[in-house]
Amino acid sequence: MKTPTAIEIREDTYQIDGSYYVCNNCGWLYLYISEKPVEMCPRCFSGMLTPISVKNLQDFQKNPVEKALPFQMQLVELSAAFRKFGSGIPFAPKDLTPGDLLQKVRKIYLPMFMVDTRVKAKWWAETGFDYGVVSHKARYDDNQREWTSKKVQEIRIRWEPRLGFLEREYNNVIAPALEEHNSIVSRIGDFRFNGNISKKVENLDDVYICLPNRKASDAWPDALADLQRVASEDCRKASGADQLRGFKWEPDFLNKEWTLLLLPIYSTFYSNEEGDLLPVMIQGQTGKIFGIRRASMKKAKRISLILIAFSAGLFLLSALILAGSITFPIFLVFSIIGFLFSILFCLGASIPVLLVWNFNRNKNLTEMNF
Amino acid sequence: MPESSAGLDNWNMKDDFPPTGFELTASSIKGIEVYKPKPSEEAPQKEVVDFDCPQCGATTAFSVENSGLTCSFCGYFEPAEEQIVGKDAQSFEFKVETLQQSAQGWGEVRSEIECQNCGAETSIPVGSLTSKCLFCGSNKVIQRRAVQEELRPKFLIPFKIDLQKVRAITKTWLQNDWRLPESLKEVYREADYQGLYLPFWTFDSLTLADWKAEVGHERIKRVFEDGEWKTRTEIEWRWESGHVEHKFDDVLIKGTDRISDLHFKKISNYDLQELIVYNPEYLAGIYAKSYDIPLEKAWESSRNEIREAIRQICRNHASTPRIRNFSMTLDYDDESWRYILLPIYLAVYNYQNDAFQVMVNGQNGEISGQRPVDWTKVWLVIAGIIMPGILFALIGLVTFPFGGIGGIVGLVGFVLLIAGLIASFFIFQSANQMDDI
Repeated sequence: MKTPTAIEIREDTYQIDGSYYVCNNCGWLYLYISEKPVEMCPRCFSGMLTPISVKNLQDFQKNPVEKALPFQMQLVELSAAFRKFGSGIPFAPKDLTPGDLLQKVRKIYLPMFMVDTRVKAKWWAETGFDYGVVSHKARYDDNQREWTSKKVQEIRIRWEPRLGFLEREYNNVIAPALEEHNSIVSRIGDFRFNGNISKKVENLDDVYICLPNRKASDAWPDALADLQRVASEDCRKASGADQLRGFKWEPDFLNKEWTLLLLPIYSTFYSNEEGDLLPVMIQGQTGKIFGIRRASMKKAKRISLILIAFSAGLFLLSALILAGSITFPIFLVFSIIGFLFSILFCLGASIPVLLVWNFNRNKNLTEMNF
Repeated sequence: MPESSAGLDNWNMKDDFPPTGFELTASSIKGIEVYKPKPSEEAPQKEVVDFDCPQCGATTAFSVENSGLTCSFCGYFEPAEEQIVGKDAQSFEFKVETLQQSAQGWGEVRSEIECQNCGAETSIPVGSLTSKCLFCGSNKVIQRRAVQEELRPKFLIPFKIDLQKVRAITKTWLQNDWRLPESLKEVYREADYQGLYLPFWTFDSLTLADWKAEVGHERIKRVFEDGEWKTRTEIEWRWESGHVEHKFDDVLIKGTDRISDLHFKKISNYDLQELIVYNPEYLAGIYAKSYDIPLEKAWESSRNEIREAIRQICRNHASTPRIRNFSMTLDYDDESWRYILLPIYLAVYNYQNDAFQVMVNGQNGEISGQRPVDWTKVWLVIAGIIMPGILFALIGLVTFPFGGIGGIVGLVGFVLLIAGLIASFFIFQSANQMDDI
């Protein structure tokens, strides 16, 4: 299959049957256009992706993609991020290495609604105009017998009411298209929209495009808040003011058109000894990483057992030397030293387990369920 | 807040749009119309206001006695519109822009005005707020456009004392002092008083001061010295500190350097509760001047006065008056200013070929100025005061060899001499100050 570009991902692309998948664990829907076979869900890594028919998609899930933010992390940067993620974990799981994590990296595009609309509104606000005032501070000291004075300038705001009509086209007003969007960005950080929006996504091969799971009507209040913010900023600029507060408006929205903006994230996973796959997510622009860090209890127990076995051996040896001390009293000293060391090793054997227990006790797996 | 002044408290977007009181203004974004509150509808100020009698066409002038415009030809009278604002008169912040523009001054040396009465052109010096036509004698008030609206006179205290009363005050002032020459008593008739409005700045500021000082406390100590117990007072120095907040209200600073500081201070007790909104009628026929000391310079003088006053207040906060290593920081807050006109009568009279200046507060009649001193009288009085002491001292010296009485007389003479010298010093000082500028 030819690798499509973002420009080609228009409504017709959404008609390709057999390219849509649903996770049977978390329920996320994906568009995956690649010759590679689909595997598990790149978000939860707990469910398998099952093909679904395009007919089963709802209209809001078929909104065309208008723009996408490019993946900006290089392999070296990803590797460094994984190294940092794994560092400091006592007895880290064996596949929690930069190499393993990098090998299993998936690219996911998270959707965001973008709405274009024409707004007609009456508006009213208090606009603030900055102006400078001069003040003074002074200091007196008996020893110098004189005053020293300093001029200081302060900025004050003169508030004046302004109102008017607004009739403008507002494009690309964004609103989350996933119910989990806010939870995700709270962990991996927000995306920068200005300056680096690419009209064209170069390579969509092996990229999972996540589809909205939120209706446009549900997302509208979020878009409306953003629209109001943008409109109020425009009204401030139109008034030539430096500040604006108490913005109110009575808007009518015409010709609403919904499209999607795609946000890049990388995801990968590692497994713990119980066989759970633990997801790790990386923001595709900044490289901010999030995932549950778990230490391996199995490894820790193994070390502890070795220490206990060594301690037991030493104990037995010390007992034999103690028996020999009947003939050679000097052996008594060696046997006491042997007993002491065996006790120390026995006590020390609990340290790896305790360390791992302490590290893991506050790391709850459910945290990853965004 | 302009919010309420714009009358939008009860306005609803469903109502007529835009609401009354708003006008379209420039918008820097296409597709957005912006309405702002209409500026308050003040009648456009004429640059030159002529005061002609509506009845006979003669010149009218402000009458202090009647507090209105009067025509001396036909008796026409029109009361002046008086809007008392007192200390509530609007004050202004120290905007950077205002300070710069105040420093620029009026920008011209003289300007030409055309008399609406007779058409003659008159050249008037910059800073004159009033003028009289040289040809027809009509009174004019110049309301020249200021570099900034705030720098136009906005408030004034009208004259409350008329010329007749001023002459009476001057008469008393020139006659009721023994140090003045006898021939001066009739000179007041010659003094040609000129009522004029002079420019002043008033300043308000909240001052926040933090002070620190070593304060001395007396401590009585008993010590055993030279085989006996004695008490000795020692000073124990302790560090003290404090915070003082003090509001300075209407610190008055003159806006012109054409008058003597010394004399003005003596008559500067104006009651600013009588401030009224500026009205050109009050200036008709009275000379008025705009400021020539710019706002920033006047403000500096005001700050100097304020800081010395607050320093004293801080020192008074210490637990004892014995203070050393005093230091303080001072923060001026909520500073504001006003530009006002205050009434003064000025006169110059000649006495023995010397000119002497007198000024009278046009609101309350306080008077100050130069008065020639009859030094012969002063020296005679000083001689009369010292002489008994000298005489007694001499008698005491002569009679001293003849017994104890001489000593007593000599002592009395010595005391009288010292007292006489002290009294003479003060008489000389006050007489000397009388004719100081």
